[in-house]
Amino acid sequence: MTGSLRWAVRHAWRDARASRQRLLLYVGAIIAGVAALVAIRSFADNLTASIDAEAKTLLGADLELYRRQPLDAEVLAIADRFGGERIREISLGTMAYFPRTRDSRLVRLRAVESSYPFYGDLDTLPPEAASSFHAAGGALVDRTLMLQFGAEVGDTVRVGDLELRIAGTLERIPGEVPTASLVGPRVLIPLPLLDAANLLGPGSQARYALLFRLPGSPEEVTEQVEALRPELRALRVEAETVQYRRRVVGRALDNLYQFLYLAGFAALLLGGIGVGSAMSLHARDKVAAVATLRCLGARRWLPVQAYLLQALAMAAVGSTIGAVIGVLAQRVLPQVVDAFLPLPVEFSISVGAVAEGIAAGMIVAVLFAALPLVPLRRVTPLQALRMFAAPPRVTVRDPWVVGLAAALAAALWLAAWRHTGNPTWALGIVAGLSIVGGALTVMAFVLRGAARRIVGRVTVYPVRQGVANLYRPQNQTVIVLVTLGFGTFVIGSLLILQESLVGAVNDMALRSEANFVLFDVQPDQREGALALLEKHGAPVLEATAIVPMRLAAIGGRRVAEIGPDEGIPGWVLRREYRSTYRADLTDGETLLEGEWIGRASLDDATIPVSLESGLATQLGVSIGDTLEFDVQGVPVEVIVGSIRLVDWQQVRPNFFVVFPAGVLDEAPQQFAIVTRVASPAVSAALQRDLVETFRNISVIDLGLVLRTIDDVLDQVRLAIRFMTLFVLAAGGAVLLMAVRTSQRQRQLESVLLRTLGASRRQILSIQAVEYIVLGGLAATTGLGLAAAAGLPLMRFVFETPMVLPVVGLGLTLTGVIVVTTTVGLWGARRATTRPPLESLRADA
Amino acid sequence: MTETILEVRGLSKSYDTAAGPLAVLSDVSFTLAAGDSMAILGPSGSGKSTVLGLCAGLDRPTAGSVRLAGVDLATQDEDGLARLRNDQVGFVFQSFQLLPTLTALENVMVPLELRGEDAGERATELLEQVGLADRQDHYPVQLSGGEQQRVAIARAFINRPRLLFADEPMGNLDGATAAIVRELLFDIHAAAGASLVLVTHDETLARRTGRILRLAAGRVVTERSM
Repeated sequence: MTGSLRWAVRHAWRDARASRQRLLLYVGAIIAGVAALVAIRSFADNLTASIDAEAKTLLGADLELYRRQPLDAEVLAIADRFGGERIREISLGTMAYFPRTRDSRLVRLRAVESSYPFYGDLDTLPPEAASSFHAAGGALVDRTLMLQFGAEVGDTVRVGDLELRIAGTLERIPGEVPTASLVGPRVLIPLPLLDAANLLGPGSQARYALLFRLPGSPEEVTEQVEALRPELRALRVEAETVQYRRRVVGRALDNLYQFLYLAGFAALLLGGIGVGSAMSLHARDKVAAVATLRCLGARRWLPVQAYLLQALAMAAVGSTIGAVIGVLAQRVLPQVVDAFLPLPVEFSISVGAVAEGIAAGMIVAVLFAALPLVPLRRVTPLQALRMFAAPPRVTVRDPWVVGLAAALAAALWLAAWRHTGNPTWALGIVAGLSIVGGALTVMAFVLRGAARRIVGRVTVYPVRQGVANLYRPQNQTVIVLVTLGFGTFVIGSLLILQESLVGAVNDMALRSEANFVLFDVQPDQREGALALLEKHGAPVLEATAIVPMRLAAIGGRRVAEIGPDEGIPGWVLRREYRSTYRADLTDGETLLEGEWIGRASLDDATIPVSLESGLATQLGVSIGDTLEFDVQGVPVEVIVGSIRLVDWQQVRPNFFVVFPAGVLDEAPQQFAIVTRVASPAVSAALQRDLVETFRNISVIDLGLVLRTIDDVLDQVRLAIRFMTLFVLAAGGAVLLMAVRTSQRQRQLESVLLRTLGASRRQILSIQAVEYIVLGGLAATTGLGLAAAAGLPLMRFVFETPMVLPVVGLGLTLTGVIVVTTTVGLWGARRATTRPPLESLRADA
Repeated sequence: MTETILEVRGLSKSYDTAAGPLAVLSDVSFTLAAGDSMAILGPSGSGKSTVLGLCAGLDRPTAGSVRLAGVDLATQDEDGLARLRNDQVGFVFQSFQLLPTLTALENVMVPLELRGEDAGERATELLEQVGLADRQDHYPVQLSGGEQQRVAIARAFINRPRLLFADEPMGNLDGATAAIVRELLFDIHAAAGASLVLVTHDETLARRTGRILRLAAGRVVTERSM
C-alpha cells in the first residue's frame, strides 16, 4: 500500500467515527434495493434449479403426443416406434354438475389411466385419494370448484351422463400452475369411465393424448420426435417433450421474473439516489476540512479518495446487509408467487445471486456517491482562510461529473440488458429513467424561479419565509424534488399498471350486452335450448352456427407439405377451425380489404370467404388467394374474398373464417347461443336446467369469468404489493435522506430565528410551508410523469386503455406530503424544544 | 550569506467583476531570509490575507512571482505546490481550521502522515509542549478556542517547517488566552528556527517580529525593520 493510500484509508476510518449517523443512513438507502435484487435473483436461480431437477414433472412424462381426433391405428403405430411405457389421457371442456347443491360450472375434464402421472405426484386431500380414485371409480375435483360450491369429499359430481363420488380435492397437478385451476378448474376421472359419460360425440372438443415413460434422456427423446416430425405432422399429431416444456415454462417465468426484477431495479436506483443525496450532504460538510488538508500538503485527489473509500466501505456494509435480508425474503417470495409456479421451489442460498446483488449495490452506490464527491478536488486551499467555504458545484462542465454520469448510465444499461436480455429495451429503460430525472430537475428549477418571483407578494411571514427557503443559497430544492418525485413516480406507475389491467377486464364487461354463452348446442337441441332461455327471461341475442373444419391446402400446396421453416406457425396449419356462415358482418367486425359477399352456393365456381386479419397475416395470404378446407371429409375450395378486423373483446363467438350463407348450411354443425341473464341467481337456475336437460351443452357465464379474472389479478396484486414493499422501503430511506439534506441548514436558521424571538408556531409553520410545497410538487410531478409514461405503455405494450386510479393516486399524493412534512418538522422540533444557546453552541 | 526563504517580486492580484477588473493587490515585493520573521500589517480589506495566500501557493497571482525555498511557485502544478507546503510550510489560521472529525492528536499528526511517516511520538511531544498532553484524545468541539489554537500551533510545527504562515492567529481569542498563545507561538518559532510570516492588524503583535510590511488598499505603504 502506498503512503498516500494508507493515509486515505486511515483518514476515511477516523472521519467515519464522527459521521456515523449519516453514513448509517447511507447504508440504509442501499439495503432495500440490494435485498430486492438478491431475493429476486436467488428466487430465479432456485426456480431454474428446481425446474432442472424436476424437469420431468413439468410434463409428468417424457413425451406427450396429442391431437384433436381419436388416436387411430396409424397414430398408435408411430407411438409403438417410441417404445417405453405409455398411458392414455382424454380431456375436454364440459359442464360439471353437483347434484347436492345443484350447481354447475364449465370444467376441464381429464380422463386418465392409473399410472398418471409417470413423474411427480398428484397433490390431493386426502393424500391417498391421488391413487385410490382409480380403484374406487371416483373423481378428483379442483379445490377452486370445491370451495366455490361448498362441495365435500364424499359428495357426487356429474359429468355428462356419469355421476361419480368425489374421492378427493385436487390441490396441484405437477407441472401446472395453480392459477390455471381458477381459469379452467379440473376434474380428474379414471379413463375407463369416460365412455359412460357419453361426451365424445361428434363435434366434441376432446383432446386425445398418449403419455410416455421412455428410457432415453430428454435430449434423445426430442431427437426422436424431430426424426418423426413429418409423419406426426401428416397425422396432425402434436408432440411435447420435457425439453419443449422446459423452454415454454422458462419463457413464461421470464416474464414474471422481469416484472419482479423491474421493481428491484427501481428500488436499487432509488437507493442510489438516496446515497447521492446523503453524500452531497457529507461533501458539503467536508469543504473546510478539504481546504485545510490541502493547506497541509494533501494532493488534490487525496481527500476525495478518503471519502470515496468511506463510500465504498459503507456500500459494502449496506449491500451485505441487503443481501442477508434478500436471502431471508427469498424464503417468502415463493409463497407470494406460488400461484404462478408450475412446481414447488426448493429454498437454497444462491451464491451467484448474493455476489451479483452485492456487486450491483456497490457499483450503484459508489457511482452515485462519487458524483457529489469528485467536485471536492476543486476545493482550493485558499478557502481555509475564509470564514465561509462554499462547496464546489456539481456541474456538467466538469468532465469527471460527465464521465461518472455516463458510467452510471452505462452500468444501469448493462444491468438492464443482462436482465431483460434485450439491449434496446434496456436502453429504453435507462432513457425513460433519464427523462423522468430530467423532467424532475427542470421542474425543480421552475419551482425555484417561481418561488423567487412570488415571494414578494406573500404577506404572511411564515409563508414568505417558507417559500423563500426554496430558492435561498444552500437550498435543497433540486435534490429533494428529484428524489421524492422519483419515488412517487415508481409507486404511481405500479398503481396505474395495476388499475389499468383490472379496468380492461371491467370495461369488457360493461361494453358487452351479452353475459352468457351456450356452446356445443346440437341441431336437435336448439329448439329446446331456446325454450329454456325464454323460460328464464333470457333474450336470444345471437344464435350462430359452428362448423368444424381443417385447413387442407394453401394456394394448391397441401398443408402437410409446408415445412416449419416457411414461417407459418404449426398451430395455424393444424388447428381445427370452428367456422361459421352468415350473410352480414357483425358490429364487432370491420372490413379491412376486399368485398364482403354474404351469399354463395357450393355450385359456384369460387366461394369467397372472409379471414380474420391476424390469421391472413400468419398464413401469408391476400385477397384472391385460394385455400382448401376439409369440412368433415368434404373438400371445399375457397378464395380469400375479404379480410376483417375482429374485436375479440366482445362477448360473442368470434371467428377466424366466415363463409357466406348458402355454402355450409347442410354441413354437420352445432350452435352457439348468446344471451343476457338478469342476475347470478338466474344464471345459476338456467345452468341447472340446461345441464339437467342437455348434458353435453357447455356454458360460459361472463360474470363467473370476470370473478375468475379478478381472482387471478388478486394473485398478481399480491406479488405487486410484495415488490412494492421494497420500493417503498427504498423510497422511505430516500425521503428521509432528502429531507435530512436540507434540514441542517434549516435547523441553524430556526435557532437563529428563535434567538431573535420567533415563536415555536412560527418556526414550525415556516418549515411546514417549505415541505408541503416540496412534497406536493414532487408527488404531483412524479404522478404526472407516471401517467405520461403509462399512456404509451398501456397502449402499445398491454394494448388496453390507461385507467387512472384516482383514489390510489390521491392517497399517494397525500401520503408523500404528510410523510415529507412530518419528517421535516421532526427535524425542526429540536430547534424549538432546546434553548437557543444550547443549539447555537452545538452547531458551532 | 544568509539564505532567502521567501522572495516576492511585483506581486499583483485582481479579480474579474461585472464592473471590470478589481485589483486587490498591486506590485508587492519583499524578501525574507531564513530564520527571520516579518509581519504584514494593515486594516481589513488591505490585502494581507491575499499576500499570505499567494506566498503559500494557495492561489495564483495575476502578475509577479513568488519563490519559496528557492522554488518558483509558477513552475509548480497544484500537487507540486501541495508537496512543497507539506515539506517547507506550517500554517496557523485565525479560525484554527482543525479537522472536526479528528482528535487533537490525530489533527497534529496529519502533515507527517500525509508524507507516509509515523507521527505519533512527535505529535505527543508537541502537544506536551503546548500544554495539552492530557487533551490529546479530545475532539475540537471539546476544546476551548485557545486550546484549539494551541493544537493548531502544534500541527504547524510537526513537519519542522522552514517557513510558518500565521493568519491573524489571535484574532478569535480573548486577551488573556491570546497572550498565552502568542508566547507559545513565538517560543516554539524561536526554538524551531523557522521563518515566520505573520498577518495581523495588531500593531503590538507585529512589533514582536523583525520587520513590518504595512499594506493599505493592496499596496505596500511602508516597510520597516524593528
